[in-house]
Amino acid sequence: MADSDGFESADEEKQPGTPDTPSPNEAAPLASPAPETKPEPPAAPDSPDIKPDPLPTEKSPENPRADDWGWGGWSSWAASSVSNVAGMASNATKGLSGALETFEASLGLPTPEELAKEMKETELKNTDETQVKDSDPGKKEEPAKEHKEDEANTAGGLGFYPGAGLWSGLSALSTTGTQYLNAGLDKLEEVSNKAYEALNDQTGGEDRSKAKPRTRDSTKGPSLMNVLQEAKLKYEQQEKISAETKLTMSYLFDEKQGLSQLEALEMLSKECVLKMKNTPTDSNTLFLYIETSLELKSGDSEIIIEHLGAAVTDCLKTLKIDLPISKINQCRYEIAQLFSEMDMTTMDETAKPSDTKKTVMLANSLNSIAGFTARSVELFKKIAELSLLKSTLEVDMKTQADTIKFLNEVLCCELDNIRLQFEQKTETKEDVDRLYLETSNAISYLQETLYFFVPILKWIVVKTSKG
Amino acid sequence: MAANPYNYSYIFKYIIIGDMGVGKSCLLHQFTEKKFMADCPHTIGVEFGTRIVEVSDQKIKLQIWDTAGQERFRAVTRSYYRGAAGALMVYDITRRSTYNHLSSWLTDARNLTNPNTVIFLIGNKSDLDAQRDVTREEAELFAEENGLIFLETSARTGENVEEAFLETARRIYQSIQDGSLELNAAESGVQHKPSPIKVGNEEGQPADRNCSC
Repeated sequence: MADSDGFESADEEKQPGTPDTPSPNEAAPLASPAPETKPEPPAAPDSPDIKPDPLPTEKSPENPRADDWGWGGWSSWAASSVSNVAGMASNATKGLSGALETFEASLGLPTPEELAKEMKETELKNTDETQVKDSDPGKKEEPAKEHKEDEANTAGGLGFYPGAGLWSGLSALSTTGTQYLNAGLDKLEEVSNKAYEALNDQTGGEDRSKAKPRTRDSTKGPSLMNVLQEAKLKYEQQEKISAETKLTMSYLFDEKQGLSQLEALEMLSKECVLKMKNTPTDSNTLFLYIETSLELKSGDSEIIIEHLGAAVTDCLKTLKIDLPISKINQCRYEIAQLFSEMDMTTMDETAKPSDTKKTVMLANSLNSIAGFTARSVELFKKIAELSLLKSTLEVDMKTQADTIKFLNEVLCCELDNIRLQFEQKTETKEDVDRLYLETSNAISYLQETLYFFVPILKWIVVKTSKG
Repeated sequence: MAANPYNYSYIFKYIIIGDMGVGKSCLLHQFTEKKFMADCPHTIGVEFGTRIVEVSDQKIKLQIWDTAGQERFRAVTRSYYRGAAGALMVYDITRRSTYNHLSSWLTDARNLTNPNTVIFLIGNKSDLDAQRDVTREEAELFAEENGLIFLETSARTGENVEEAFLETARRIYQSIQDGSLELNAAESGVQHKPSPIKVGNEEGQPADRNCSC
């Protein structure tokens, strides 16, 4: 676009005289109207070749402003963005002018005297050529015309008119001149490429990166401040979500390896389902008992546990499972420790409950509950593993099923006890609700083990009955 | 930190197998805690360990299943191979019998995992070189013949422990990049962008309770 602007401005210069302004059909609608005289036939095909090139070559020495070229797009951009870049850009345009002078020289452009001579000659020729259209010069120019028409289409017709204005004194150039100019076009392209590179080098790196935000500011885009504020808000929201998710039972339970324990138990359970399918078995009354016994009933009786460790040990004894319960004992002990620590801090700081304290409080509660749940699930998984190893039914299956159900209830009740204890230290209703909800989720994980036990106990029945 | 509370993109399931007393749990402990556990109790069934590692700029959570080596647990531990992306098969370089049992462990590993599972052979207790009962060369040959990756490690000194776990992760990650390992498929042992499993609903009732098998 800068290009067309440049050429348009040059348009004005065409006014002094436009006697021979060629108007190829393609260019006509785009170009400003009013050539005073009709174009002379031989000039018509020629001129599109010539005009774009002579225009700059003529102009640049007298008017170093590169705008007319479309270079202005670069130099003005650079100038507006960073001042020192502008300096560099003007240097570059100076260099460009120099390059153009040499370019002129290389073109071998005619001196004014020569041009005048040629004008006279062509005027004479023109009279002939209007009559004899098949003349040699016409033929020679034909290929050039086609070529140039294409260029005219792509380059935008406007550009040719200013050229026409500048060259108003000339009716046409000789064919040799045309050839020179064609070669000169390549040269010009080379020069322009070099100039482009020079500009690029000088305005590259830091300067350009500096320039960009400014451009954004000026185009009413979001300011850097807005962008940063948005990013900060987004980050804070994400942090909040992240922190909240970290305080959910599903996350904490996984952190304590609870999910893996549950997954292992599930794998054992599925394996038993598979084995049952592959072993032809008669329906067994024990199956129904197992299902009913391990089923969750609404309003399961509350169990009062005086000593958790003793209750668990008793269950294991009944099941004839030799399993250390140090892990679950340790976990329960740590929770008790936490309570006593909390009592101490509450006494110290009753006056000023802070937000941080509340968060820590909730985090502690949920962490403890998740940990205890994970160790409980682990206990059930180990009971399943050890039960599956037995080749004989050492304990009556009804007793096994009932004991497992009882142990599950014991541990679920203990979870609820822990919740109640934490609840007493919880200050807001929101946190109390949260604690209740997450403990319910924890109890769900623990009760899930019963569901996995059904096929396991059934398989044990089948396996041991087959010897 | 992003909205995702998990600071990793993948979970790889590993399983550690091999005879009793070869140092499976000690290897795991060394890898997760960077400590040597001198008096390690016998593993019952399976124990777990996790660590987040970085492979090709990706954070990966290694979920390691450390199985019991006792023969009596073999029937149970076979249930746990399924879905392992990596299997670390361990023997003790000072006890030839543990090396001789490798073919049996390898059969289990091949039969019970998927074809893409990376199997890594580990000759542990390399710090006890004086009591060596299995040469490095023959183990290398065994590994080569069976297409396994091999390293001698020491859970006591930590030598090559990190490398064994990490190299396994690299191979698995490579399989993902190659497209030969299907993400999130039940058997692949690889999960992408984890979503926590939710059991039960808000009322505390476990899900699928009515589904009887």
